[in-house]
Amino acid sequence: MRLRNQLLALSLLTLLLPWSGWKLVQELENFLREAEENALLKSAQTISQALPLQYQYELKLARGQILPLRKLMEKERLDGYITDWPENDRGLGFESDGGQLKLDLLAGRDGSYFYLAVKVTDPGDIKATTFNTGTSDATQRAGVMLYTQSKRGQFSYMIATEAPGPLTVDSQGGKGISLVAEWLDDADGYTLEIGLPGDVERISIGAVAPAFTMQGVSTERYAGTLNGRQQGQWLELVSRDDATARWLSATVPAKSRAWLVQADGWVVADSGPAAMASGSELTWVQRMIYQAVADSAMPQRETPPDWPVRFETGAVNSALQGENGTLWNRDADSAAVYNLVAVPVFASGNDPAEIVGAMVLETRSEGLLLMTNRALGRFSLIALFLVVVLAAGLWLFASRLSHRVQKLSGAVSRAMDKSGQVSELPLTTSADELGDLARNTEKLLRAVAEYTAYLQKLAGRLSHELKTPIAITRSSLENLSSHDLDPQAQQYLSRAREGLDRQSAIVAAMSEAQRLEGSVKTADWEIIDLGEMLKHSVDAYRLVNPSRTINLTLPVENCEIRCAPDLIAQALDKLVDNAISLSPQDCEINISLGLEEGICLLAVANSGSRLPDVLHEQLFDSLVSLRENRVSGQHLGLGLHIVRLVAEAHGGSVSARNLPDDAGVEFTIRLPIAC
Amino acid sequence: MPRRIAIIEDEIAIRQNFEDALRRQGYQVSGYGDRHSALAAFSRRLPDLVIIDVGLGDDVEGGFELCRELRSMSRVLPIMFLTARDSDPDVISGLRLGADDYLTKDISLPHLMARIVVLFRRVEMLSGEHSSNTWLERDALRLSAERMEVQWNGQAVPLTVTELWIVHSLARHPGHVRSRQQLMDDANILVDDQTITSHIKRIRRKFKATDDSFDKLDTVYGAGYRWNSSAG
Repeated sequence: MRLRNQLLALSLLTLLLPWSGWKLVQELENFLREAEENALLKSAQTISQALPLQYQYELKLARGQILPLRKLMEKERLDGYITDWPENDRGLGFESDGGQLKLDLLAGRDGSYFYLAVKVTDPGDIKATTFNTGTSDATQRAGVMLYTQSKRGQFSYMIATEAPGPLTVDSQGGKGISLVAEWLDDADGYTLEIGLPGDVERISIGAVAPAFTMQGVSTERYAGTLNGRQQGQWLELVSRDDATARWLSATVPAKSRAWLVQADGWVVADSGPAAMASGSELTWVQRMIYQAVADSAMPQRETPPDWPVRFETGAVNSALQGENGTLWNRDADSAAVYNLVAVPVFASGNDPAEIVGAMVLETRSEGLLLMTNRALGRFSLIALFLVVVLAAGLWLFASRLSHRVQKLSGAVSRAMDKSGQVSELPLTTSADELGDLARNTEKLLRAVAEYTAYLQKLAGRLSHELKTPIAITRSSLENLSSHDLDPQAQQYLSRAREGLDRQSAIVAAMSEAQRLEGSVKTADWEIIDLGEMLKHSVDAYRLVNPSRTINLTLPVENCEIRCAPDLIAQALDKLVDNAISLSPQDCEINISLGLEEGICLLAVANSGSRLPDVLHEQLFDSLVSLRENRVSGQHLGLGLHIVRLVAEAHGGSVSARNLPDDAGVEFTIRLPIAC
Repeated sequence: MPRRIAIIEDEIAIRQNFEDALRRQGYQVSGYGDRHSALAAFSRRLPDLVIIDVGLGDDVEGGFELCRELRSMSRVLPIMFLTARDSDPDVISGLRLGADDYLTKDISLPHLMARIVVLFRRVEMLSGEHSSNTWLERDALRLSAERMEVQWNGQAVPLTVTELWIVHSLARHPGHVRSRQQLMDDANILVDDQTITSHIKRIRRKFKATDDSFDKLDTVYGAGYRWNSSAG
């Protein structure tokens, strides 16, 4: 892993920052919610205690079997359809014995007119209208029996028809006012809408259905509050009390809605929809953040009716049992959270423990959450910014650091490659540890370079210094040989000469590299065909070494390069000489020339020997010899150094390698064609 | 009257060895350790041959300086460098200063004697003391080993003794490759291969100065050189 990536990984730790922020915001949110809930409960309790006595009576009076009057929002048309009624599935339901006959009852109020909607479900095999067609006796007909009571008195109506459609029903006995109704048959029964005068206080209602003929039910069936066809239990028509509602709406805290609920859960008074500040639209980012923060366990809120008629939620039920109830839920689409609390309303007066109803209070807390949302938004933005800045900073720092290290290491390796002068290392002016490293490395490299240069010059200098004493010895020996010497002395003399000759040869070899540098300067550069030159050279080598097999491989194409042929020949001599002397007699020498992307490859390979695995690079340095037994005495490790000098003078290079499968050693001189 | 040879050499042992050897050959030898004493002696009377070491003690290029001064005193005085410095630039500058030969101290005494004899013979030839005339003629080349004279197309080519002997060795066996070692033996020198190469190079240059189309000296890479009679 690179340094910069390591630091980048480290910088990921800063992600803990937004995470902790998220946790904090959640805590804060929970705290705020609790506070709001408590405040709401307090105000609900206050309202319930402050409930004026006359409104408490509404609750008390409404007790028993009541039929709440819905607020009909549109002008009700008597059309027989009850689907246009609000909360039409929350009517009062009645069943006949055995459950075959069902009656659903809704009541509504539109101004001073009352309306009833009745749905009768009858699986019987005879429709009511069909039955009525064959029954002339009014007291035997199938339909809905309705008793009303108002200040004007008690009246009864039998609503039955032979054909669906609008009806006008006279009261039985003809004393009361007539009612209008609409009868509508449907698949499993009929629906009936009935208009009532606005002064009706209570009704008793029931459906009458004929006996089954097929299942053998031989008696009439009844469903409702009637006692047979006679008037039975009364249903109080309870209307929302507008005075209570006005009081409530004046009392509830802003942006909340209150309901007064009687003991059965029916809404008695409704403060009406709270004036909502039009919630500003949330962006998707805010919503996402909100959903991440908001308790996901909070239930989603089903869209409630505009004017609820009855509460059956757990919170209200527990309030009616005497316990405070709370409910949190949230809107699916917006970020709004609804907090509903319900507190019991105790009867004032003689029995304070008597629960007469519940005060339900709901707030839509958008502002609160939005506020935390904004704070969260700001916080997360800042945190994100900080994280990015921090990570970027760390990454930049790491990049710079790794770049510097890379630069230094590159410069050092380049300096090492060139074994010559040490170029200026970067970073040596830096004050930090890398600067120290660079300075120390430079010092070290300079020392190495000086040492290398010293080594390279050593041979030349040494040979130069040795020449004079050798000359002294030689001239002295030769002077000596001109004297008359006895045979024994002659023998010693010749031995001394032999040794001296060898010394001279060594000294000559030692100074060769130095002289070569001079030769490079004065060499004749010409364009020659390297292949042609190789041919001649190999012929000569074969002549000189008749016992050895020397193979030459040439490329098809011409290999004309600008070079100093004498130098190339000298280098080739060294390589061939090496190959011949290092391999056994029966091994072949392979000389080959190749072209490769503007580079001439001149290779000399021999089988039967092998380079040690180490020192491949140093092989071409001055005074480095890898020969194991230095019997011949003249191998000072300068030959390959010469080869390298020649290659470098041509802008090329030289390399050595062991051939695969231990097939021998190959030395390759690479010469750029365009040099 | 024995010929007088002056040796200017800062190394006493070498100087005395050479003096002894030369005296044994019958020459009259005087040795000097530095440039000034030599010059002082020469201003009185010039010797017949001067052997100079390039480096004279602390006077690193003193030999070259001495050569220049001697050449200004006499155009015909044979001057021979005998030095440990054998790099190409040294040889070139030595010969450019008008030295007749440039030998390294590796040379054996017999070789040195042979060179001295040759130099004296040339002086004799030039002064007409000797009248033997054996010319080696090859193509447009006329070479007299005795007179130390080389002509190409009738024009004299100014070769040093070493160079002349190399040409002589090659031209005597046209078409035959003479290895560097053979050339060294023929020229009575002991130098490394590179020096032979630079000698050949100088020879070619000198011939080309007379005839731009000269191409008789072939390099046979890996083996040596040959006189190519068929070329041209």
